[in-house]
Amino acid sequence: MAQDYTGGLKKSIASYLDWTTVFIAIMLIAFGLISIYSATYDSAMSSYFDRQLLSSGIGLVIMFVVMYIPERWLSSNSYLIYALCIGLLIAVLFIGIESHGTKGWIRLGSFTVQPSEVAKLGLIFAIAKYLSVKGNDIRTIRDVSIVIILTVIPFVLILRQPDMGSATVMLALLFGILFWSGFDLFILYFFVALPVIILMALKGNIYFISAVTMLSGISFLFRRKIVLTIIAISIFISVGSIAPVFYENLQTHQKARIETFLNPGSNPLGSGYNVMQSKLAIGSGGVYGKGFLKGTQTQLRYIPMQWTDFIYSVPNEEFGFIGGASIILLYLALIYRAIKIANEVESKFHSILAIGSASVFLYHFFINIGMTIGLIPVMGIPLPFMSSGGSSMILNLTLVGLLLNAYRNYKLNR
Amino acid sequence: MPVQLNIPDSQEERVSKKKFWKFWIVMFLINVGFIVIIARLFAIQVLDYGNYQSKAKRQHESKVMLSAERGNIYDRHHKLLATNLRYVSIAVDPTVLKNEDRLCDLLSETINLSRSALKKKISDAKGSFVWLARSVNQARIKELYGLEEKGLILINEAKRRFPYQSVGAQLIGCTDIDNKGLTGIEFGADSILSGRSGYMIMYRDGLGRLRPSAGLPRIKAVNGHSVDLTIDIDLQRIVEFELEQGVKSTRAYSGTVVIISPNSGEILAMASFPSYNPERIGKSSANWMRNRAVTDVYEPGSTFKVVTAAAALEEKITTRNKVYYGYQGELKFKDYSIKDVHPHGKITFEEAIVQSSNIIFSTIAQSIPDSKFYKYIRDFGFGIVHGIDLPGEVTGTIQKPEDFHSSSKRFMGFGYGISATPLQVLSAFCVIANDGVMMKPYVIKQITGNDGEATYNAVPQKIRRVVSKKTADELTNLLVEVVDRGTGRSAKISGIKIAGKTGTTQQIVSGKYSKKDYTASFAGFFPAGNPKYAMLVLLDKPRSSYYGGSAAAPIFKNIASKWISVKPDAADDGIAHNVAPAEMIVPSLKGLSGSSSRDLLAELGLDFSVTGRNGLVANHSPEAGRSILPGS
Repeated sequence: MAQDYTGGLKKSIASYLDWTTVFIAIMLIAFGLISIYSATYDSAMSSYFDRQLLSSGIGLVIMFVVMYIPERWLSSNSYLIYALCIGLLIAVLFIGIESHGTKGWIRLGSFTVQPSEVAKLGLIFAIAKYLSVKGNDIRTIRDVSIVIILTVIPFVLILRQPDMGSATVMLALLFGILFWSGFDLFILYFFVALPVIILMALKGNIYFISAVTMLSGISFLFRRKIVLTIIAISIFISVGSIAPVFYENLQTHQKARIETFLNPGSNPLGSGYNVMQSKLAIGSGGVYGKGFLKGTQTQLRYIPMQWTDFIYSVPNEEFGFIGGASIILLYLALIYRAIKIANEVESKFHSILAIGSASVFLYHFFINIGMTIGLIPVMGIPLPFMSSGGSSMILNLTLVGLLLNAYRNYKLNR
Repeated sequence: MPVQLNIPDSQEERVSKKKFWKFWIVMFLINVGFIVIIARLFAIQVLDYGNYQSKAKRQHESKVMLSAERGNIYDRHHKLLATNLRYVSIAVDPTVLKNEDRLCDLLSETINLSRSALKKKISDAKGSFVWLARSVNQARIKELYGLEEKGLILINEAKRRFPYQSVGAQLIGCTDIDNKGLTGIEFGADSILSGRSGYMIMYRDGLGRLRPSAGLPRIKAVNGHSVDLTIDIDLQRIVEFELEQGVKSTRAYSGTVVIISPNSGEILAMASFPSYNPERIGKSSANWMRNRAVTDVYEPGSTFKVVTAAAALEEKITTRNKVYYGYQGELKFKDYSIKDVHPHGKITFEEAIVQSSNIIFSTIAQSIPDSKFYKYIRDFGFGIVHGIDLPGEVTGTIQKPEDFHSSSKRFMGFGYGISATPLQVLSAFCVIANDGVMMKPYVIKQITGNDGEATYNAVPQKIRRVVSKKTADELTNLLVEVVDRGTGRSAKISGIKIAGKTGTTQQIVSGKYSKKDYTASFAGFFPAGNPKYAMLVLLDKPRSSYYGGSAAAPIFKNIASKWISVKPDAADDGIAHNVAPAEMIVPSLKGLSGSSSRDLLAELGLDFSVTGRNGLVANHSPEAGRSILPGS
């Protein structure tokens, strides 16, 4: 590791800094700042912009600091970081501040910290550490169990806040890393397909039948033992058939919540309102958009708290399809970059850190944007680098810092 | 050794091969996901753009009507008779209301409802809309305008205000809740008064609040024009006061008075009692909203003898001193008879008119050729509308010469068998007062545009010469005699020459002339030498006395004498002697601006003092409708 230091000092920063990733992150932050500025324009809410600017500044500094932290230090403190995160998640349940029904923030002086954001970092480190010391692809029940337990602890704690959206990020992270570290693909596939089947069964018979047909068909492509495949398919069918019966026996308000979750348009005045308004803003933006600060739906504040989870509708209304698609391409580039780093670095620890970051970005991106364009049911998770929120911004830049760290190590060790 | 070396090599190769495939599978799946997202975005933003755009527009653009301000109505001296006040109605949407307590606190200070009553209204509300207060004066709730309270709904509305309340109500008319004219001038001149409303497109934000934006289309409202009437509201007030007294003392069903300036045809006053309050039309019967002077007909009776006399004099069929036989009070025919109240023997034409002999006028009428008689009736304005600028004018009915039967002229000679409006009868008297020339009666004197420029000025309009000046003068002298010593003695005022004629008509009740229901009337003009005022008083079914001379003539006298005391130059010889100053009625000033009240009071010659800051008058004392002496 001493080699790393001397090498790092000898070589110029240009040779080991991943400029592309830094550029993408800064572009996304800029889009986010512009959008927040627009979404809070004129209503004496400039504090959102100022705070976002401040936290992206802090985040960028942290990002560069993280880039230089030696791998050995990161690796040896992984469990400590994980333990700290779990500590925060427990603490927030007792001393947390409640907002919109979620007890998810801890006040530190004039700042608030969102432990569910920090928890992603802890989980990535813990799994990366555990799997990297193993050295090989995980196959044993024991390994899998430990990784699952590491995930379930923060998952359950976040659910207790309750924050369903952030909790699912933990699962996404687990699936991403398990996939990357060679876990049995068929089992992963089974667990991803199951919730899809349940959702489709609730939507209606046609959805259910087509989903089962498609997903069962794909099961055969894994070319596992025919018995195993048939068992999986029968579980699909039986769970899908029971789901509607189970749904019928739910309380009315629980049903209503699921109904809105599945069909946001069915309740345009309630929780479906945001999705409907978000689609109106995006759709009316057209190809070129209405112009900065000229988006009527945004400026007339049709979307409550637009600067948080629905921030993506702002650039789409004001800069149109061109602006919206550019942002998507930036995310695609970032994720491509992260997976490429994960693929190329030699250190398994770094590879898992990178793929963990990629999973977080990918999941947040798909869920958030899918939600704003009415493709995916509403789950309250922010859009990385763009949604207003200090903890989220700093965490995402820390993850970028880990990518840069991995890239730097990879470059210096060549 | 090579074998040993080969194994890790191939293993490493396998691992890297596997890694390579994994990378590309992942990228492929991710790309599929991105393509789905981009495709969806493309569908929404590019393919379905028009749909979303029009939906968004519908949501955030709102057409706000800009209502035109209705024009004012003034009397001949530019005293305000009808105007608008801005009111605000307050409602809330309980489903989105947040600071209910604060709102109730604020409201209870400004409107007459307690905090708990307000809270009860809100909590009892079932839907998403509940009225808290209707038509509150705008000045009182200024604080509410700055309030950005979600769920608070303020609705501006203009409400028609009539400072003189019920005075002149049938003539001026009233408006409905949407400020559309319903009756009277408000209805007849609605298109002039109402103006043209405009609209503006405003942005509606996510909280439902409207925001103006400079770039959005706006069509300005064009305010209505103001109308000055020919009536004199002071005279009108005297008329209505006296008419009410008269109707009450004779226990009549109703009464009507019209005053016209005979030289010009200007209507100076026009009233019926009972009347109504145009600001509270919900409580009034439509029966009393009608302007009976133009919409209702009656058999004019003896007042119509003026027409018969004028025709006979003009055609030289009779002279003042020609002697007629009165048949001792009853002229019998095969199937009918004509009676006089007082039997007469041989008397002159002069006496016949002074004593109002039906028999002699029936004889005179019979001696006028059919077509001539018909021509005079038409020329005096019967059987046709005058085309006065008031809604609902009717023609009345007269018989055509070809429909005359043996008794037609005999009855028409003293005013039976034809029907006429009070306006028509009075117009016939105006012809006599105006040297035999008929002027077109009118009510609208001037129309003033928004810029203060008059867009219309009425000019007195000569319709036709009906009789010669000589005939008119002769008849005037005869009518002076009627008041001086004949049936119209009750109208006599010392020091002023009044010409007039009484009328008493049996009403037709279920096809027969009633012995109980009469119409008592008195029509005349003064000063007889230079007539300025022609007045008709009509009482429907008076009970104390049904004679025009004893029931209607005193009202004529009271109105005339009061008016002369207010306006001494109304009598040409200018004797304003020993008449007590008439009381006047305090106008209602509530809701008028300070300056307009000041003008109004100054015009009335009343002293006043103002308390409180500038703004709208909230209260005043004495109250509206109380009688005070001029100069108080």
